[in-house]
Amino acid sequence: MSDHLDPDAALMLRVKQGDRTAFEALVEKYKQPVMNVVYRTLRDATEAEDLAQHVFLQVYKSAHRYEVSAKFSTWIFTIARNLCLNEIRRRSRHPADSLDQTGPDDDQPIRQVEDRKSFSPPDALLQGELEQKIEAALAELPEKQRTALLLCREDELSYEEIADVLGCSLSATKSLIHRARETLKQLLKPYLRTGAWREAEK
Amino acid sequence: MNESTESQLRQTVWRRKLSPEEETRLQSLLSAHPEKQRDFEQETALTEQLRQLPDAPLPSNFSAQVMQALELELARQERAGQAGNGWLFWFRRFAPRLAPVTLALIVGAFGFQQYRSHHRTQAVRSVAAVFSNPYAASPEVFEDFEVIQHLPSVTDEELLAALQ
Repeated sequence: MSDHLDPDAALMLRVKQGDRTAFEALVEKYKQPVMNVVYRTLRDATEAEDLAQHVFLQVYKSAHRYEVSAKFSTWIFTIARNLCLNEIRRRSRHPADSLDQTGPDDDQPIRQVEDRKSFSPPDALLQGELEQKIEAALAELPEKQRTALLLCREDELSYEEIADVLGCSLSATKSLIHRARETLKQLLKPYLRTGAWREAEK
Repeated sequence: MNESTESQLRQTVWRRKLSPEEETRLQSLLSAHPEKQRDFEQETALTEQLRQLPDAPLPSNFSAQVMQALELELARQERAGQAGNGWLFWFRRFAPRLAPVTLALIVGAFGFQQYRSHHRTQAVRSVAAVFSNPYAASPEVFEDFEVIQHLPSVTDEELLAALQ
């Protein structure tokens, strides 16, 4: 049985026994994927960092409730989403708290962009602009559609597992992703028409 | 090429680049439905752009911060646990010893209460008996009370004879 155990689940079993090295290994592996989802949900780097920390603390504190039958990635993204939803609810009750939030329409770039690819200066400009437009379009999506789309980027998760995280059926999940993508295509239409996609891809 | 194949290909395009075999199937689909060409191009481009989005900013010491926060949280829980468990600890330790003593105290208190209740009932009955006696109501009965109380011990017969 343990031979077929998901490596993350095996680490979680060790965390259950209080093994902090195993916990650190999980933090190391999941910090970026969790941060990616949290940051694009909250749109505030500092709050996202705090909340991502809470996600991992929650993982440790809830380790005794973890069932090996559940895939770890599904479990941690569920925790991350629940904490994000709590934060969004808290913001809606105390709107003044999020005044310092960086909006997509601010003059400043959303953050320092660390390109995965190296682009020549004009391409980099185009790519940077495209990224900003995509980030802004993502921000406009309803929470569930955005989360579905962001989780779809994670290779770790199948459609079934994304459905588990969102707490809805497989068909509903695919429908959420489809609608999110349709909205993005609609919002980014000018770039599609000018062929900027292709230019940036080259 | 049915709708299910198209849907399958589309859902694959949402996540990754198509394999050569999948690409062949897509080309076959598009040759039959050229109007879908642009849509699939856009889907592919969108997936690629989403994948190219840079990672969210993350401090290099994030893991260390999490571990430090965990240490603090565990220390706080331990302190709270120690304070909260103080009474619980003493109760668990002494409860088995205190149980018989507590039971004895309860039984003793109940017994004492019963004894007092019985004693009061008896006293009330005695008083009632005295006042129910027709002679008791008369002051003459107590006329020689002080004299009789100071007499050396006498039998009832002697006392009766003396009174008569």
